[in-house]
Amino acid sequence: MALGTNTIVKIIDDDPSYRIALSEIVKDANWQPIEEPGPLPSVEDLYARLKGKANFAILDHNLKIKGSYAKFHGAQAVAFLYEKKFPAILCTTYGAADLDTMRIFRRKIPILISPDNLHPEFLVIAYETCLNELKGKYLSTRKAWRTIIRVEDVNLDTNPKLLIVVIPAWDSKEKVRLPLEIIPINKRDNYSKPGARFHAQVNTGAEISSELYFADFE
Amino acid sequence: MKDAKFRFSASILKRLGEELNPSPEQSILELVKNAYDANARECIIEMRSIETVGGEIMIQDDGDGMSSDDIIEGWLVLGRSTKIADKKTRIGRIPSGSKGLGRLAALRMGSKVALETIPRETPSVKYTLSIPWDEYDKVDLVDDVSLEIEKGKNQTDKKQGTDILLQNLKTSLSRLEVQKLARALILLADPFTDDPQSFKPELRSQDYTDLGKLVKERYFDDAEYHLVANLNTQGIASAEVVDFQGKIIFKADHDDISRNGTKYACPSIQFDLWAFILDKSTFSTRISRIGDVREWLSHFGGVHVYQNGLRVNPYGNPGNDWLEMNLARAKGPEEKPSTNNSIGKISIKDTDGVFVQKTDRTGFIENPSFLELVRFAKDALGWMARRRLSQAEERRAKEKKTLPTQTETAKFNLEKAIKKSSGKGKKKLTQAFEEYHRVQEKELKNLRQEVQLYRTLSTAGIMASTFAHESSGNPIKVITSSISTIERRGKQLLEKKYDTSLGRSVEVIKSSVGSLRVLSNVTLSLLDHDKRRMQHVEIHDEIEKIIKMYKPFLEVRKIEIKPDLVDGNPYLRTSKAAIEAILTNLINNSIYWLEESVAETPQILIRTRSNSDKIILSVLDNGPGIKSIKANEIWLPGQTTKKNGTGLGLTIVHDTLLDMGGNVEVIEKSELGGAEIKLNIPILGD
Repeated sequence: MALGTNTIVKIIDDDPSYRIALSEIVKDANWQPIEEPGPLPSVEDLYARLKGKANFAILDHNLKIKGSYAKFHGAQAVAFLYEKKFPAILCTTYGAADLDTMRIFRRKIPILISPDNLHPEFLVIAYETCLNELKGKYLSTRKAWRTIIRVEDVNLDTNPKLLIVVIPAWDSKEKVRLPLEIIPINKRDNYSKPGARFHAQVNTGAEISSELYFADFE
Repeated sequence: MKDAKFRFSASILKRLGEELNPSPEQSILELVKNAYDANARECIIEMRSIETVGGEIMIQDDGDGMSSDDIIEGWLVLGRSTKIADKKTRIGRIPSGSKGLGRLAALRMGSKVALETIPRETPSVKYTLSIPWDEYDKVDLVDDVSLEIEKGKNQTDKKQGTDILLQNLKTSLSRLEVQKLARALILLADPFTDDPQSFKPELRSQDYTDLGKLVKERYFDDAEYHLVANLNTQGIASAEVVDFQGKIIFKADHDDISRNGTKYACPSIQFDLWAFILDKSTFSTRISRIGDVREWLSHFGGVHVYQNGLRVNPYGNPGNDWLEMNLARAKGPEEKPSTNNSIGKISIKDTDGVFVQKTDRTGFIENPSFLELVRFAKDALGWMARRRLSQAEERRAKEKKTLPTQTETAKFNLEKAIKKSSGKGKKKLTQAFEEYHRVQEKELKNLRQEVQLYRTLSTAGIMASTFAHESSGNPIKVITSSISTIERRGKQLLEKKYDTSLGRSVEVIKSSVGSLRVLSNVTLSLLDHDKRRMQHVEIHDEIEKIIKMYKPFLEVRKIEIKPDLVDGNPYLRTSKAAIEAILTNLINNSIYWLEESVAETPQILIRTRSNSDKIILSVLDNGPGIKSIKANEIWLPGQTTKKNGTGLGLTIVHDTLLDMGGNVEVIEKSELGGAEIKLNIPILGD
């Protein structure tokens, strides 16, 4: 693992002021920040700018707000980098709707952190956690288990369309918003009914609902 | 060195043939597709005694037939990957690309198969082959059974083609299965076109005859509108919608459909959709009967997929809503078609085999190209829905314009009728009408003012949410992160001097940012779409959430907010937004009056008490109480004594409560000294 001043951290955020703010935190971790000025036409292009040139990346989720900084969301990019085995985290403020978009990619987002909680010590831990996960060593909060999911309600008026579900093995009471888009097309009709039950892989060790991911629907 | 090779157990035939077989009709369909690949124009399927075990199925085609080499190198070879070749058949068809496994499934439906084939090149010769499946049950390996192809003289009138007889069927076929086969055969080779050269499979059964007649009815001309969307080989889309008179009503280019301008990464596609408005008034001017169209749609409705001219199962089957049209319709029923009121087809020209069907024939493998096809089709439907919606809006606006004229006409007619009346009643009638008119005008004026107020406030809300989004997304996080850096470095550099030099200023900034964040969070949280849905809502949960959300904001103002909640967890069916609207407006009202008051320890108390089937929710404060306005007037829209107040907050509380079947009580001086608003809300349980 490359720790120390040789560690190059790329900062991807559409707000130049926040890129500066984040750079200062990275410097306090004794790393070298590089602020990405954009524009970023595609996730492939982002990867080309990172591969061999940086060790780690911190991305905001809403990258499309100002001007034409990027043509993709941060969540999508972190998931793409994960597939390429490049460590990256998502550092963003988010509302319920943002979380729905992030949920689609959540399996491949090892760490989602609010800017309020991002400090130099955390960055070092986050980097190690990413590297470990890319090697197949998962934190207990990230490990997926086959579990039953119960549909409490169906909300097709929202964008994205949502199933409101309960995962008894995680929390028998808390309702979780599951975007329909994650579920394979041929299963959506059967699942989109209150009372429907199905199995999927879920990280039931997650501490809060924003950490939950869903995969391999049966 | 010894040669070695894989050999296959005879039981593999059972595995492949029977366990991969999705349904009898899909298996038979594979034999029909073989006939299509062999350039047949006709393919007749005849069923005998299939109601019981031991029946027979004959499949006869007039295709090119097979030589003994064709049988050995093609027909008897299973599982060879025949990626859709760019090589077309003799008459220009693109082969259906069967792997032979479906064929095996069909052939194994009986205990014996008899094949007779007459090659087109040598019509005087006939080849026959018999497959006794029972023999395979007696041996270990597939190779242990030898099959013999016999060459004989063709003494029939038939000049070419293949006959396959499946004998001694292992299971019976139900009427439902025969109906499914009939439907699948009819739809197999695009019955929506008039091409006389097209492939015509036929099932000799009554079900087929009935359905065959039905499909030929073709009610396309009765469709309210017809969407034609095209995707060219460069991934560029275009579309138009034609109304029932054949007039183009909407036209779209690529950007209208795709919206973000991205090209679609899949081969050329044409998407046709005929949508019907199945109501009596629409059909009153049509020749067809609404019941007939309904029945036709119930059999053939949905969006079917044709790959190189042949239908791909199961898209468009009953219950298969692969484009999620029914889900979309739930959102805007007026402007969107469903599988029950529309019929469509997607024709794919795929010479490169980009779309690959799953081995068990349950649709395409969901590769990126298929997902792009789905995106294109959904985008086209979305575009049409948007255009129809804006058309409906225009219609509504027009109706709104003509409404005053209609009212005037009605008024004129009524006055005329009164004038014509005679006797004593006339004067009274005139007075009563004038009184009614005056009251109605007043009510209308109030309503207009109320609408205007709501509009103004909605605009303010939209602006507030935009600012909230922007501030929570960027400036707040920049300040939070930067102040943490200043704090961290300050402590490092100044050590003990930090507290006296920077500490206090840093803390003040941090707590002010906290207040700012509450403002944006409250605004954004009110806008969450999910909160406007009717659902099971536990009131105490909502109270706790709102108190938590307000806390930092109130702390800065030194206002104490306390819950005093009854035991249990009362719940009702409403929207979270409704409860939130009530509580936030009441808390905002208290905050305003507390800031105007001189109370040393400003307080807000949220109390619940239960009373069998209702909950009493009270919000009390120790502000100045209700002054300068009558207690029963505080609910009226626009009535306010606040500077820059809208007079709408408490109206919203009142109206929301009425919608929930509750009522409200105002206490001008509560036990805390200020006002108390007491709400009686019916609940479902606690």
